[in-house]
Amino acid sequence: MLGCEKNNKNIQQLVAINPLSYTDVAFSSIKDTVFVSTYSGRISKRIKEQDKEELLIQLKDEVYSLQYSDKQNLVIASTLKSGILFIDVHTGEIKKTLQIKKDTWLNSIFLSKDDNYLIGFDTKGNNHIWDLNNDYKKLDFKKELPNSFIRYVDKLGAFYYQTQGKYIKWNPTDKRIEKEYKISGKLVDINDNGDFLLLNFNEFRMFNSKADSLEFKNKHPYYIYKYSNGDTVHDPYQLKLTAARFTMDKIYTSSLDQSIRVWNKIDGTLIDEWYLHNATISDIDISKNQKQLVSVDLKGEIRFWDLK
Amino acid sequence: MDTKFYKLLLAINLFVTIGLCLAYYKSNKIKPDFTNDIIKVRGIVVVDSSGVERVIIGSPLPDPTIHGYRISRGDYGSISGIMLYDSEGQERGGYVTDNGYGNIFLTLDSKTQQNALFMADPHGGAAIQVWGRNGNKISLSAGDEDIYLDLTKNNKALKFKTDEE
Repeated sequence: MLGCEKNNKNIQQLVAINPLSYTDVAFSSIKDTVFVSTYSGRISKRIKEQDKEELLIQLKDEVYSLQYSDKQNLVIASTLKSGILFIDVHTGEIKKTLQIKKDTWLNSIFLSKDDNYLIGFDTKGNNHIWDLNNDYKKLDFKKELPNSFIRYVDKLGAFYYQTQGKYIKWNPTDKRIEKEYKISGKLVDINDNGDFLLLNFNEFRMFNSKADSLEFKNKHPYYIYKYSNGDTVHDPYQLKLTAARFTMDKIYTSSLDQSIRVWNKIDGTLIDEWYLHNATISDIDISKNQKQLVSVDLKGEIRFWDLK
Repeated sequence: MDTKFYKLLLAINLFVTIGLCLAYYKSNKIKPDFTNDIIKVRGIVVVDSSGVERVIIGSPLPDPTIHGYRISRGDYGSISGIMLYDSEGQERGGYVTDNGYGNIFLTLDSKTQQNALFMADPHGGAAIQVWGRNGNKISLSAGDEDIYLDLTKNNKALKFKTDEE
């Protein structure tokens, strides 16, 4: 990376990048086709049972989070230095850039299911909400909701803010709090019943928002160590969870332990465990018809799982 | 006349081309020899066979990546020295000095947090700390005025008599 030549006019920087790592994944069709991103700036299409990536764009920047907009046929990417990029999935052309202040970035972005709002908060703790149907206008509720972080937008357009041991459901149209929930953790999914799925380090929590009660919480029960001959042993470690998603009747969680666990959504019992990955699973996504799950890891592996 | 001239030109061309190829091949075979040189650089990166960066010697060292994103060391967290990374590219420990206050420290990290720290203050005194999650921590430090041994289990300090005889 750094040479020994004198008078090198290009200012090079150390980056500590694993170019293999997939940082995020997002379905772009009902099944079998997704977009993936890397620290090294690649955004590529991956198709089930095809070994090679189809490069969409090579950015001179790091990409941490991806969302796919069905309506606009765009991939939305959160980067280290270039802000938020809207990329045409057919041409790879950058159609729109949303600037973020210097020396800060968004590690995670979320696109509402109706493609109306793009949300996230930056590394300095500032919330960002863009109204995509209103010329990307930024919405700001800092005065009404200080010291809070936007985490989710539900299908009815309500915003969910995390603040000091609770969540606030916020109506952006009327600018009022609809409800408060005494639950902590990172809100990662809300299902059609309004149940919350939250992550708290190595534990996931299923919260019934209508009953205002925690239904259950659970951890991956053990780390599955794999020997080179295929044998496995269960080590009693509960490692950090990296992602979780609802389907109609199940919950799927991924972890640093390189596994995906399948849980019964009603009572939280463990149904299945998938351990074909050989690295930390950085993200999972579930197709819109809930018939397929895709997972990516930090050594560049991708796996499609057909769901029952 | 014309044919002879073209044949000659072709022969010269071939001769020059082969000569250039040989010279290029030979120049590629020559390895640079730094054994008598002092190498002055801002950073050195060691990568594994997959291209994953495993050791960086640099000033300043980059911010760490963690499970698909990057976190900042903060406005006053800039450091220089040697950093080690695991096969997933995760920062796992280093031997560094900070670029502000002037501490020197050796750290050992799990995939989610720092678990061991051995540190010396620029003005004297040193400390060793090891900790796990759930409020378990052992600290051992010595300064010019006093020594300290603190043990914390599940966020509760274990009491010791000081200067026990």
